[in-house]
Amino acid sequence: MDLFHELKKFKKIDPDPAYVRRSREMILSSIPEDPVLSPWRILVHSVQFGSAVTLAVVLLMLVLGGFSAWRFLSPFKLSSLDPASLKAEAQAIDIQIQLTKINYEEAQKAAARKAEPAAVPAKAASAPAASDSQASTSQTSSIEDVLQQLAQ
Amino acid sequence: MKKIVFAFLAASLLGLTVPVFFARAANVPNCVFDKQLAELKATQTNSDLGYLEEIKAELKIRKNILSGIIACAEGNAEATQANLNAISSNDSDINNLKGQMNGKFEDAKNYYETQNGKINDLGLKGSKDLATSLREWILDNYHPLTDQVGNLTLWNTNQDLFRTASNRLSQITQTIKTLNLGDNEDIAALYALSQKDLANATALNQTAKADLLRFAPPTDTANDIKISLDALSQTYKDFFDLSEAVKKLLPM
Repeated sequence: MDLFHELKKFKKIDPDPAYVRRSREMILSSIPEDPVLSPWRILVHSVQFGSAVTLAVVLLMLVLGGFSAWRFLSPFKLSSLDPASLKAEAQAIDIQIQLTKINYEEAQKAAARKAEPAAVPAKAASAPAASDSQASTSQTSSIEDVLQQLAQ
Repeated sequence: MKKIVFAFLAASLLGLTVPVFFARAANVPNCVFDKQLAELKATQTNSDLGYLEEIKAELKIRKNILSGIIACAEGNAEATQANLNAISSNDSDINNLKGQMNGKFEDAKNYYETQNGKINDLGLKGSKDLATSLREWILDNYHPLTDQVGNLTLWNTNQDLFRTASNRLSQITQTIKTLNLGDNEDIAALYALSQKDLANATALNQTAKADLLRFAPPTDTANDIKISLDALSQTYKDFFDLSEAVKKLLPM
């Protein structure tokens, strides 16, 4: 057998035409078609792009704004001994103490009024022609003071 | 956030309590009698009037003033009673007390109505006597009642503060246990002091409540309320010290 002679025969070998046609169809069908720009696709792309930009801006703002995750993760912040919260609660107590002082002083005044004779407001006693407007802006007497004057 | 909540709470407290203090409407426009008093003085010194004319004119002015005073007093009673009924509590003792106080306001309004009915028939001396008895009644009965309403309003508002402090101590207890901070001597001592001071404040708060329930003199009740708040304030000083001590141990 002449080996070279046999090898030269290969040049003349052709594939089966049916196989060629089937293979070509298979190869061509696997190539992706050009994307169609449907409204839905445009919307999805817009949302994706918008989300990416928003996230980037938020991260940028947090970084530039001095945000620190440690502040929120700090066990001291999470604990019951946060000074800011304690201060707020203590201030509410201080306000109540001031209000109690006012109430105490009012009660003391009422008790003292019983013991002391009422002072007659000078303006009321000496201004017979006082007008309504003047009367409402002048030093006024309490009910007890007026009753004290009526009792005389 | 808590600051905002407490600022709101404080503003609410002011809004609830301040009207009680000003319920004695000495400066409310329709409770101003300066002009009538000046007229009374002018009548008494008017030499142009004859004796009988002067008596008639004076009596008329006196009756007008007395009617005005009673109307003013009734208005004050209505306003203060409305403040009393605005007090909200789940405490049955406090609700019973509110009921008793409401009864006293009704008594006051009935008293004023009765006195008002007497005015028409009064002579000069009778008008003076009515003024005297009305003044004594107001000082002896009405003012203590309005002061008691003021004290009750304050005490009832304070209960939120005591509850908050108690919750705070519970949270601190949990924190100390969770972080094993009780082994530190300073922290253990401050924690014990906080517990002791809060217990003391709570006991004083109950003393103030007992004052209210037995209608103690309003100055005594107000004083006991203030003492209980001072003790609560001291408890928060302990909490701050505890906070500092923990901060030293756990540097942030």
